[in-house]
Amino acid sequence: MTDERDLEIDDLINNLDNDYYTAHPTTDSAHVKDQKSRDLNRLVRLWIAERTCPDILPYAHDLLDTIVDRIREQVEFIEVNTVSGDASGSAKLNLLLVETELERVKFLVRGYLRARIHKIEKYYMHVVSNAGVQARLSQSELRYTKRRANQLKRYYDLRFLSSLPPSLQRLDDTAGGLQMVDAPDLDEAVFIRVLHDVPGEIDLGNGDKIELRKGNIYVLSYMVVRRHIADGDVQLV
Amino acid sequence: MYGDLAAKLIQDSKRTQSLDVLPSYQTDLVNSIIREIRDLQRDVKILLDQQGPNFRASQDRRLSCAIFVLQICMRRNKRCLLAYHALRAQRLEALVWSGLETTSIGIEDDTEDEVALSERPSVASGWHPDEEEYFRGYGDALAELKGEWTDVDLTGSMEPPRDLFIDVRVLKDAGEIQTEYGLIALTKNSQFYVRQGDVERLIQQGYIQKLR
Repeated sequence: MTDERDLEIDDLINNLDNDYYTAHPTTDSAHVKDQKSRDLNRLVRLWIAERTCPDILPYAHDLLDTIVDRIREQVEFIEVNTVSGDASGSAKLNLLLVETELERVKFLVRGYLRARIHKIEKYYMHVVSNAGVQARLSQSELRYTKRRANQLKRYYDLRFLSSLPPSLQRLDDTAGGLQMVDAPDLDEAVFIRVLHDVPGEIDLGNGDKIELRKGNIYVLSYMVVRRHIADGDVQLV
Repeated sequence: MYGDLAAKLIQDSKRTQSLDVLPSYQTDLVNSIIREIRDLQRDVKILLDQQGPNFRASQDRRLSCAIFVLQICMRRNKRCLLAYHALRAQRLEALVWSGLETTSIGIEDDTEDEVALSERPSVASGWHPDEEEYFRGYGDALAELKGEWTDVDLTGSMEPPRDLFIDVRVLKDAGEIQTEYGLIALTKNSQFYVRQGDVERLIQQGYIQKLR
């Protein structure tokens, strides 16, 4: 899978990055370095999970805040070093590497946010009417959703909805056996990798049971493994 | 026949899906469908009024069948209207994401947007005024969201970045851009080796083409 390859490249770049830090006075302690690469790996996982999960996952406030702070640090670092005009070849190469990594991290954050926005827009009626989903959004995402829902409602109203008989003006009707509100299909199949053995067997809902063994990859309905994903025993791939 | 007009609207939607440009808004068609729904609603009311207040659906199966059919037709028309408008709204949103300037934002920006502005009438031609309003409103909402993520540029490329610098060819005159390596004059047919981040927006707007 390309994800695997991306990870390897990330590691390589991390190493180079670390080399750079050790060669320069702003060296971080080994602990901080560990923490940083762990955060990056978490971001990659988060991005993959958000893209493969049919539902909207909880917004990762802490990680995103940390990453954005680091991005700012790096941008500053690059600016300072560009201005200081350290012209030696290796410094320039290092700077390029830092910059390339920066672009990659930005891409991950962008991909993560865009995946969320895509789902939020698709299921906006569901989001607007469901407090449980709203709790999983960030403040700005929630504001955006509500604003967009109002605009869309206004567009429909102006164009035709307000001219219809009152009984037909609703956007969240369930009459006639048809559900107007689109909600995520939680039964959708997802690929998962098991990180820790899950005790006992889990019920697949159709009478079959399955045991989740560490290291194995399964294709299962999202509904069935949702709890284990939240627990961190299982990850989406 | 009931529903014929709505079917036409759906055909137009189908056509819209395969077109690059958003075709004209079908004002007449939409209005006729609204009228049809109201006519149907009136028919239902007349039928019910004839029966008086004590009418129960189970008593007169012929009548309840008639009302049922009318109701179904109205609902179908509404669904078609919703589908048509939802599709158009989606297309408008895609245009906002692709970086098409909204007028309110375009004014305060620099030279490159003047070109976009002068092109606007051709893009927005055939739009209903309500659609322009929606387009602007959505643009503002997205701009606000973007404003909170200035560090990552939300509308940036969704291609994983491979190289920091790329070869580009200029397709349309796009004025000058300021980079950390100085000023670059983007004249038509010239080629440059530039930082991807510096020209991302121009690529999206079609001024510049990325070379492989």
